[in-house]
Amino acid sequence: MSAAPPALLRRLLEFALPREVRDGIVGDLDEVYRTRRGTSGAISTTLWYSMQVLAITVRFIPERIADALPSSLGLDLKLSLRMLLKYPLLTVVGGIAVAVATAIGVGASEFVHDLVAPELPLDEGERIVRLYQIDSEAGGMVGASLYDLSVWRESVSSLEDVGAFATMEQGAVSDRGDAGTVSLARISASVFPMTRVPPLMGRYLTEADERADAPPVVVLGYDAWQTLLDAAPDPIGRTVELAGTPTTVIGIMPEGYGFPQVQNAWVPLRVEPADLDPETSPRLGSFARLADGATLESARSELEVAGRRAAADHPELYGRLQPRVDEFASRASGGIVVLALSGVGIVCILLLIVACANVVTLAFARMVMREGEIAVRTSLGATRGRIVFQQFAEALVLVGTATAVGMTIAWLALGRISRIFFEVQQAPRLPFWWNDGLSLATVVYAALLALVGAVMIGVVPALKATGGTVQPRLSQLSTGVGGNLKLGGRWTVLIVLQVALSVALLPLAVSVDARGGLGDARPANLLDPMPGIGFQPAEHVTAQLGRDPVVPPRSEQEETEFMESSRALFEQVRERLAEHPAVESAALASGLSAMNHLGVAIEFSGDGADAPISGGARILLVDRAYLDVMDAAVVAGQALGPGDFAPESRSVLVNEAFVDVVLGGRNAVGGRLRLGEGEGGDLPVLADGADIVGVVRNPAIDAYGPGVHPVIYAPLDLAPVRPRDSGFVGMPQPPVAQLFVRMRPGAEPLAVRLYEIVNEVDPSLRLTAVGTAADAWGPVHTGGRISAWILRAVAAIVLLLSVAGVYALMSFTVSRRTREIAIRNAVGARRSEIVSAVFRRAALQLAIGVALGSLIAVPVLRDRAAEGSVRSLVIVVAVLLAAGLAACLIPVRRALAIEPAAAMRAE
Amino acid sequence: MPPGMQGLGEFEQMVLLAILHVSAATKDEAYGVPIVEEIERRTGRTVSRAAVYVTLRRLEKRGLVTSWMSEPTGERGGKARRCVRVEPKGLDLLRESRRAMARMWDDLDPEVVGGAR
Repeated sequence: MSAAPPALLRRLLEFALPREVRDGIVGDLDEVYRTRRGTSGAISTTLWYSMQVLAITVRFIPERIADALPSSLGLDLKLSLRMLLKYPLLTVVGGIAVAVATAIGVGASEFVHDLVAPELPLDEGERIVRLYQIDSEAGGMVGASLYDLSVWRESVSSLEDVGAFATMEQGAVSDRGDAGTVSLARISASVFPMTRVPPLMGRYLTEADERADAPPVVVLGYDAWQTLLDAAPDPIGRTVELAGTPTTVIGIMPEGYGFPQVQNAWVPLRVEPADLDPETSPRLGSFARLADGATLESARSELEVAGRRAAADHPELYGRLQPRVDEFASRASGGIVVLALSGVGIVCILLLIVACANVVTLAFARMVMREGEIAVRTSLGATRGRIVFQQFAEALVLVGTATAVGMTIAWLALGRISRIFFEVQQAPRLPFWWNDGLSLATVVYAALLALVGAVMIGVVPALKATGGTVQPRLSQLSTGVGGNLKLGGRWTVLIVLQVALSVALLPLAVSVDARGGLGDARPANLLDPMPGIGFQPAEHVTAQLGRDPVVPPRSEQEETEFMESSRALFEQVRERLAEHPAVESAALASGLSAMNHLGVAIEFSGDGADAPISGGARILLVDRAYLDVMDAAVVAGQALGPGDFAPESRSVLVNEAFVDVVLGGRNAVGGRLRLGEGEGGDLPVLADGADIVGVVRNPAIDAYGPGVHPVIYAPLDLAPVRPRDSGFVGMPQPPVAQLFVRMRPGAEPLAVRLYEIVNEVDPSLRLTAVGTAADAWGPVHTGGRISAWILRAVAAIVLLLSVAGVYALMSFTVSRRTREIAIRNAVGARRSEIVSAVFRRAALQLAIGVALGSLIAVPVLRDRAAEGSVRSLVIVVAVLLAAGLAACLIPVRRALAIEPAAAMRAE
Repeated sequence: MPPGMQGLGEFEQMVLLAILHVSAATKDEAYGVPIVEEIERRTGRTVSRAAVYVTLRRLEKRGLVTSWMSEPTGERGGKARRCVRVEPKGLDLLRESRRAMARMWDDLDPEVVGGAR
């Protein structure tokens, strides 16, 4: 073990110390640390060191901050630090609230920004664009064809280095027998000069490599070189086998280069004459760079002209297509991403509104406590501006520190959350442009928000407190009953609002399902976020089976043939596996539930329903073995028979959760399903209406446990089940199928044999993401758990804030009545009457708040029928009532303890 | 009283005296670690290291001590020692503090004084 102090603590110490004394003090502590470790042991010495660092940090931080600021400000800040220590409730509660608000706000905005409008880390990366066509009839995007690109290369002067690419995951074997998978791009050679990144070693692709008779060559990415070639110092000239073709390595790209998305191997895109026939030209991904002096607008207008010309030349092909150009990595359909994130986002914003309102309330309450001090300072000659600025500085120290803490949390969390997000998308790795750091814009934005927060918390209450004249405040101070910061009925309104907001929002937020947002069919309670996954993880192995065309299909017929041959190969793999002695059964499905799993809106008609029943469900295309593997027996109707797998068949099954959640327990068998309004996509089985022939038990294997999602099981058809365009990168391209294998209990692990079987069936098949079901769903669970923890943390903090706010307000309003209580006591009123009068008023305020909040909370919670939400509502109400009533006790006791004679004298 | 010539606090006096003791014993090599040890040894009290560093910094700003960096050493994680020396002005103030304190004791009832000595 190292004898150096813990690095993090040492860094904190270095940060806290002024430069002139830093080395001396850090060195002193190092020296004593080493000596002590020899005698006192590691734990005790680390504890000692932590205490030293803490003590020194506390002593020197004010100097560090003050040194960085002008002298008068330094004085204000020193005083601010002292005041913050003097009022720990506001400091701790307000600080935590602002830090959490900042962490969530900054983290979410940075994440969405990176997802929807990222910046390419390339020289003038913002001038790199992608080209595509909009199909005005079908209403979607289609790639630009090689023919289109060849035309635009000549006719659009705003664009240069125009090129195309097709990406795929490809099995690769090195000349020394190391096997792996690379993310391959067949790409125009112009990509390299276009991205302006020189190779790390060797050369990159040139036009000569694109010729049909040129020998096969590949440029490898840094990580492919590291893994596939074991970082050999002389990789140039080595051979790797790509889809069975020996290919010479001609160059290595530097670390971090992954254009167009996540790629780490590039081979030339060979264009044959047939590829340039407008009718059969393949549609691929494309890129270009804006020429010198050109803008996105000039490229758009040139493309519009080119589009009109194409429509005139080939009306049947181009009549409905409109060429488009956009920044390369921007996602037009980012709205979907934003929506996906908004479930948690909206709830957080609601919670933060409550949080901020509470901090302001606390600031007001504290201002009242300091009214005397402010009155004295004013009478001693401090100007109103001076006092307000002092309050502002105080709030700025609090909010600024909390903002910095929040941004640090966001920065630390972003990297981890991004990785989980892309793992759930089944992306092989993060896109090369993904940036875990915080952008300058985000930091500036957060700093501005901190300023606004400081104005709200510091300036607004200070202005209120310093209004009016000094004399009445001073004279009232002398009677010992507080000043004149009167808010009258507004205090009552504040208390009622405070309670109402907390009651309305907290249980709602707590009940939101971290996995599905408010709209999911069966919400689980946050307090019980992860039901068990309900199966023996080790006995179920799953993997993704895919196949990439060596050359992209040129026609629909070629594509159909490719899909059909792939489907036959997948089936062969399944059969071979099912025969294996270690395997009990094997099945294929279109995907893995909860990961790239299609969710659609549907309408049900049947079982005497007057009108179609609308709902949401996930669709899984499955083969005949699937429900056996999943242990999902038919409980009503019948299973899918051989005839149901014919192309014209429209039979589907649903699970019990579908019957319960979507149909409310109606009889599903014999009913008819249609896609809901606005649903499109490649789902022929539902587009024309499907018949429910049976209901199956909720499968034991599901990401979140049996029956969490209503599911429709349709016969597996390996024709493209395209995930809807959501702008996510790196998603597997069809044809893919999810392989499920149920092992015999106690059987030997299968993973190595699995690769061998797949390779024996056909080397062009690729097998990825092999693991147990628990491995496959790990990221989903981690992601869910993180979301749940974020919501929990926010909910807990808001409850804390609410309690602190209600307590402060209540105890303040009762304190205001000290004189009244004391006088009533002096003139002979019974104590019990006085106490009950105070509590009656408090109870009334709390009751109105609870009633108002419940008006909002109860109907929503009833609809959602979540047991835990009702429990949360009861807890929130109980805690707030307890805090409110406790807040009355202390001031009432104090007032009653005043001598009657003293009370009368003061009057 | 000119800036820097205000009286010394009790802890400041202890720190200055400890520097003098350590300097005498180590040929002018007084720095944080032995200064803390010296105060603890002579007073029998545990001393906050942070308080010593803050005091040293304040004394230096007042011109009562000066400091310089020694050569870096491996036992200190490659960090140099910040050595300190008491300046004549610091010495004057120390003497003045001692005299002031003695004057405060003067003329007191011998019974009171005897208990303190």
